[in-house]
Amino acid sequence: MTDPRVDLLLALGDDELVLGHRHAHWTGVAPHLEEDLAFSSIAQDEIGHAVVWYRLAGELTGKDPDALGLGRPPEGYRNAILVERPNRDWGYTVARHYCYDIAEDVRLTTLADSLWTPLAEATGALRREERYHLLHARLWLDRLAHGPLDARGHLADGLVAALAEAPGLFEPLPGEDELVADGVLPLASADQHTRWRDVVTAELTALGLEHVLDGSAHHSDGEFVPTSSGELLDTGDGAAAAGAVASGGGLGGRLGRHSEDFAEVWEELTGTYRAYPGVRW
Amino acid sequence: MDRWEVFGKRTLDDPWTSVGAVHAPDREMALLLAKESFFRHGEGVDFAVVRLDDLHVFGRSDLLAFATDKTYRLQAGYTGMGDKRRRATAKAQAAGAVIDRPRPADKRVLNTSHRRREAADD
Repeated sequence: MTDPRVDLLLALGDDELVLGHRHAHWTGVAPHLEEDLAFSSIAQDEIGHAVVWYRLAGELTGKDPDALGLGRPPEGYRNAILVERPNRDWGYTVARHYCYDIAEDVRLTTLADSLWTPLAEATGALRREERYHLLHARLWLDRLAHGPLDARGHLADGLVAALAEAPGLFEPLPGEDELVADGVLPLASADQHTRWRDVVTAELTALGLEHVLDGSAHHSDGEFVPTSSGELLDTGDGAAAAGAVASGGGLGGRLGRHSEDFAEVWEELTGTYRAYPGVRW
Repeated sequence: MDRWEVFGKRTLDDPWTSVGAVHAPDREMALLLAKESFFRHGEGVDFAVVRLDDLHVFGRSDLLAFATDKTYRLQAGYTGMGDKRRRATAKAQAAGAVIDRPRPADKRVLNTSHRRREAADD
């Protein structure tokens, strides 16, 4: 495909589809019933966003959204590696949800100014839903950050792991220079990354979690941080962070290079579509 | 975890109506979770949560039970009024009583519908 707009739309759609699918793995086993409903609903929202992007891509390629969403080989997907990772625990899930939805907010705000009108118009409905996703992500981040100890520890580990691969969300797209020059993409991926980092740095610092930005699940200076449960978190000599920090910044997804975790997602997502070609609901 | 009662409005002019409850550790979480628990199919335009402890509960079912016959307070206590009136009229006529002036006009309804209502009483 030579139209760089298709690569942009597939990157947008694939991020939403794959993360929506991972989110949906919490259905039935989320921390409690109310959260199960809320998170499953967010998962559905994200997959709904994917359909919006695939429809737009379909207008350029002549393919229907199902064929675009489910009918490509693994190397044809353009999602960031971050979104294909398993959920691990609730701490990682909230950390990734937060990293992703701040990124989506930056992305949609950028695209709202696109000179390609259909793209700019598509952001409107998505941003309305995105407000709830951000509310949800920030509230959970805040609650886990304020303890109890175990929760804050899981969150810090999750943030270290998610932040390590978050740069993949802003990996430059193939043909990005052309998209920027044409005003389709009003802000290059690198500049969006800067905006994202400013927001995340400010908010995590406000929660006393700035050390996760340096890849450490614990404070290096041994400060005691009070938590809402009244426990004191000795941040100096705690156990080593359990989360393995991925190298490479989670890059490669925008070029179709994925982690071993993508195979599982792809098998589940596309299995029915491949087994019954042309089947309809 | 606290239980929060959830109240919704279908339109902004509607009164608050109980729609269910959520369990949540605080007010913000209760609001966050109530949205997807009860309003994800377009059930209303607004909602509110109240911590169950903040409902001032009367809690005296003994004072709500009828101690004596209160059927006169119930609609069911007023059946068969048409028959009762006809019997009373017949009894009055048998006793020689005569109604010598017209019944006062019902200001709220036309006479025709008034008569129709009497017929429905029978």
